[in-house]
Amino acid sequence: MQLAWKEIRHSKGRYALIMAVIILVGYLSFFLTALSYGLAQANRTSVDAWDASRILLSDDANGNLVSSSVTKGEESAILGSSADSEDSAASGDKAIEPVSVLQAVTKIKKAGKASGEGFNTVLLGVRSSSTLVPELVSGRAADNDKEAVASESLSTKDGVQLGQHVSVGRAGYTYTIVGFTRTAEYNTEPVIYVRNGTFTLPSAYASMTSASEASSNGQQQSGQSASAADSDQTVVASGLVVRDASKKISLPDGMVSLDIDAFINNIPGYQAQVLTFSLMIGFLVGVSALVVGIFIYILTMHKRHLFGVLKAQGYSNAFISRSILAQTLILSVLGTLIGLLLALLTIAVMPVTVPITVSPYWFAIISGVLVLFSLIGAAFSARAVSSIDAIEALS
Amino acid sequence: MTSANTNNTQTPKAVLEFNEVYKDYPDGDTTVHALAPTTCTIHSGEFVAVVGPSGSGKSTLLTIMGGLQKPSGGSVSLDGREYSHMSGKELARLRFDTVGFVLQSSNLVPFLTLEEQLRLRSSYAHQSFDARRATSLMQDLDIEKLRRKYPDELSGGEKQRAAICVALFGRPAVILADEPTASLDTSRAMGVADIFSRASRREGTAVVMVTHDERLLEECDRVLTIQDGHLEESTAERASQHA
Ligand SMILES: Nc1ncnc2c1ncn2[C@@H]1O[C@H](COP(=O)(O)OP(=O)(O)OP(=O)(O)O)[C@@H](O)[C@H]1O
Ligand SMILES: [Mg+2]
Repeated sequence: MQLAWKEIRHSKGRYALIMAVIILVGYLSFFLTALSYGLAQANRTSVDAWDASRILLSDDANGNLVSSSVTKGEESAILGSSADSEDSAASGDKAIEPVSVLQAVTKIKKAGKASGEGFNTVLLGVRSSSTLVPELVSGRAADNDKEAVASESLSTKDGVQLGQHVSVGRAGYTYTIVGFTRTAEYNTEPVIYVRNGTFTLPSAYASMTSASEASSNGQQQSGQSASAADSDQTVVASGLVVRDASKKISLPDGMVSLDIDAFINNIPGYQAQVLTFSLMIGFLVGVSALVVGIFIYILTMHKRHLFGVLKAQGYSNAFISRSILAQTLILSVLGTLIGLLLALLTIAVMPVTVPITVSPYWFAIISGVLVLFSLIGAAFSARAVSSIDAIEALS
Repeated sequence: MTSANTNNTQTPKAVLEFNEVYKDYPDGDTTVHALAPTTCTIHSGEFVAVVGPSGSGKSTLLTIMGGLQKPSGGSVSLDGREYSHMSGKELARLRFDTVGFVLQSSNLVPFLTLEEQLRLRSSYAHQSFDARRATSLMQDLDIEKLRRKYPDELSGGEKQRAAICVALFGRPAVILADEPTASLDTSRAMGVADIFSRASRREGTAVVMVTHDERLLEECDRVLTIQDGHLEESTAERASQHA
């Protein structure tokens, strides 16, 4: 180890080159990983906050929450199969919760009028005091149909403030933002949590089968009070979120149960993004590990004469190999750390609109892989040492 | 210590024994007989010169003596240990313990100072660094002021003396030197021969030196002449020369 370090210090220029390669590779890998992770998170944080095991969707939705619809009849069939009465299902039973979704543009209302450009948001309709809402970071929970809490990112990125009125979609559903939750996004858009039933689900199924009811009840309908009057065909939610993995549920026809991981993979674009980034980072790390390995191999071969001299003097292969490995360890750990530091600095100065998130877990894995691959490259060089003849010292 | 034998009045110990040792190199369809079957013994405290024309087998002889390569046949004992059946690892250890090489090209580690070169030996052997021996050796070789210098900061002669210092530091049973004075002027060359001569007398180290330089022979106890792989003893008696 000492020998390795002395050599690095003595031939700074030569090792600076290798180090630069490792630093740049590390920097790029960390940065891309943070970007990729950030984007992935922007797709799924709201779903992760559910802490759910499964989700029940309509069969024809292709696993996409936005395309799914659950009718009144289906909901009561499912809740009835797992709870004694609708009453307890509606208020007490947290094991299965309905969720409705509306992807729509939100505008801030000023002086009673929606103005400005508006921003893409996702409206999630949930029960009152629903456990699907992530913890609040400011303000308070919504008390009634006219109130909403929103993802913190709506405040940091789009500048929405507590107490402001917002208007959502063409229908102009109006809510007062009374609280902000931890960042919760769905399909890269910030989530606004409102009471289920305060907006109409834009389902073709709903408009065909219960158009009259939808128009007569309108947006004023407050899910629970009006529910008794609804026919079984009324769409009441987009999906049903199941917390308890062991829960026995008898699914009515036309409904499917999806593991939450499979559900996340079905979020439009999610899997393609994750795959693209993973492959990019994987190949980057792999190819650069090869480059570093080749560098170290070339360096080792440059030192054939020295190794010959050491072997002639009776220093063992193991001793020389250890010194090569130690050297690589020093270089790769140092290079990775500097690359990490640079990446963290860059991430810190990125604007908030860039979806970038540091994942200690993935950063640790990337660091480990970089160091490990460098060591594997060095191991090949170390093996080559035993093929160097001590006689080479004489030449 | 493995071989320090500072008492010259006792019967000298055999540190190198060649018994019918020969070396063939395959060369295409034919073989090169680099060393014909050779039997000889070198004792502790002897300063032996090996002379001969280029290609006569001097380096071959020296590398077999030092266990850098094994002979094609015959047996070699280094410090009383026959090495032809040893593993590479054991042989490396034997070299480390008993042989000091002084090569024509530098055998110094380029990124270590002179003192660090010596310390490397001690740490490899898990011994504490003998600072007094290091200092006295360096003083002896007149390189004490260079102890913190790197090899590329030394002149050719200084490098050669530094290499000798490293070779002597571990108290080897035998020093093997392949043309150690090739790059030196006459007085420097004589100086190197003088150092070997003193080492052999004071510490009982056997020294085998390949040289082209006739002037150095008078410092030596024995001169071995090699011609086309055949080794012959010439006479040269250091004691009588000095008398
Ligand atoms: N690895 C080898 N393969 C084949 N032939 C070799 C090899 N090493 C040496 N020889 C041959 O063996 C003979 C003796 O070589 P050696 O190197 O011992 O000579 P030398 O006396 O040291 O010469 P010089 O004074 O030029 O250094 C030469 O003919 C040489 O060509
Ligand atoms: Mg030679």
